[in-house]
Amino acid sequence: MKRLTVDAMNRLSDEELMRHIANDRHAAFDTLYSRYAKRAGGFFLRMLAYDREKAEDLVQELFVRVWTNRNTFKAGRSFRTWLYAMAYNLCKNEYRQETVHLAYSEECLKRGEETVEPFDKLESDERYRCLRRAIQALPHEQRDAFLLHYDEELTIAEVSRITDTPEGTVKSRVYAALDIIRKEMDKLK
Amino acid sequence: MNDNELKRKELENTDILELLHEMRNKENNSFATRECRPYAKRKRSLISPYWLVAASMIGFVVGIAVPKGMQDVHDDALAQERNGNCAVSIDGNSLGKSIALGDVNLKLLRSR
Repeated sequence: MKRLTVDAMNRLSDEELMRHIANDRHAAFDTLYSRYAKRAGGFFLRMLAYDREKAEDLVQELFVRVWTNRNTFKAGRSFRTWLYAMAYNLCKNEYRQETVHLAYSEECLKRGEETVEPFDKLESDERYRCLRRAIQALPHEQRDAFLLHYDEELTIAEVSRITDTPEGTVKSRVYAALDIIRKEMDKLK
Repeated sequence: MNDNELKRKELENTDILELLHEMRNKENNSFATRECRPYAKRKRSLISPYWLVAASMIGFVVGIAVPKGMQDVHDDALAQERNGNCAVSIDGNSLGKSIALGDVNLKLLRSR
């Protein structure tokens, strides 16, 4: 396989980059990492009650998995679905040690936004704060479906595959999540 | 749940979805990433298992096998001398001293 410049790498699709990564091309991995690391980080933040340290660790873990499983990625598959399936599994592992996160989340919600907010710039924005609180108040299943579908823009079918849940259930969950968020935001206004 | 119901709900909550995307973009951009190079080979530690195995083998040879062998040579020579059919002389040194010096080039001489 021909060696490509960084510019050429940037023009490749995720799936093409995965082909290069499967041939141990480090530059392809770096390109994919710079493309997705921040996104994955933001996703972990929202999934795990804004535990920033945990989110940073999970981004590392996620991309180590991308590298170690590079040969199991099948051609014709969507990289995003594959990546978010791994990210979702990492979140599920965290949910298993749920006490820590739930306690953190509950406490944050009670105490207000000071500890939840890692972003000073956004702190003043009341609308974001309301939305964050509303999302964190959702049950896990609804939050997962809601964030994967609306935040990461995966289709209902993709969310269904990732969460191993029937499509109808995914739709009901995002529907219910929208309802709850609307009510919470109205309450918090 | 059919698609139309969900579409209707989304339309009712367009403001929330727009806000979510706005917030997501800001949070993602301000997320600090660390360097990630899982392909980098780890530096081999000086204390590798190979070194430990080699060191213990050297320890065994120096600490047990060689002294045991030397002791056997010593015992054998003394036994022969006791039997009276040979004498031991190693280049003018006593047997024990020669062994301590590592000189195992024993010369077994016939009885005086």
